[in-house]
Amino acid sequence: MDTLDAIEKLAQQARREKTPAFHVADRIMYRIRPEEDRFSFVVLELFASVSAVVASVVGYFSVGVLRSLASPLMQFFTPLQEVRLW
Amino acid sequence: MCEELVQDVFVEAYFSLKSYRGRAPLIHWLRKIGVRVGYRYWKEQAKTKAVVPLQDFDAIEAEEPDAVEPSAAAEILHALLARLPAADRLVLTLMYFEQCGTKEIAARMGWTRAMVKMRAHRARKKLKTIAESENLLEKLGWIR
Repeated sequence: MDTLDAIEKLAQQARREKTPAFHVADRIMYRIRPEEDRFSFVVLELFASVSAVVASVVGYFSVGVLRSLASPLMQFFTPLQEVRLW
Repeated sequence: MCEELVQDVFVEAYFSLKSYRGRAPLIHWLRKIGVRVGYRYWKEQAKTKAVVPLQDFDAIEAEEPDAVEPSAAAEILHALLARLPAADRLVLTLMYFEQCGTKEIAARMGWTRAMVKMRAHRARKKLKTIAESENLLEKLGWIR
């Protein structure tokens, strides 16, 4: 018998093999869901980054302003120092 | 591995659902994705060049071809086909296992029909050489 005929017969038998059933629904859902959620995480991370940058800028200026103030209470008396009270 | 490939097919189908235009039944579209996922897997596998020698399989002893265990026949056939390049393997797998014609294979892979015919012809030649070098007929004692 020719080799190719033998292979053809082998294939005939192989076609009778039952296809196994796979239950993959849960795993597919597991793989799909994180992809969907990733978008909201990106938005959240972006918002957090922008907030952090803005907070740093505000913080930088606040520190400068706070340092210029010796004491907030002194602001009330500063004009009075130039006036002789007695 | 089969389970992972099945998952890959459905995950890929989910993410490329936008490209489905509904011109053909969904099953045809899914088959296309399935063939491409399998083809990609074989291409990756080809890099490792891990092939099971035919000698590792037990000889198939049976009086009648019909008495041969289908899983044993499939295992040997897959082992033989695994020695072919991915494209040749794909064409013959679809022909032998799914009885696909050249038209259907061309549609699934986006190849021309002439290309499929040529590939099938060359793949059969290669397979014959491989099977003869591996003494396939000795292994298949049931074939006379």
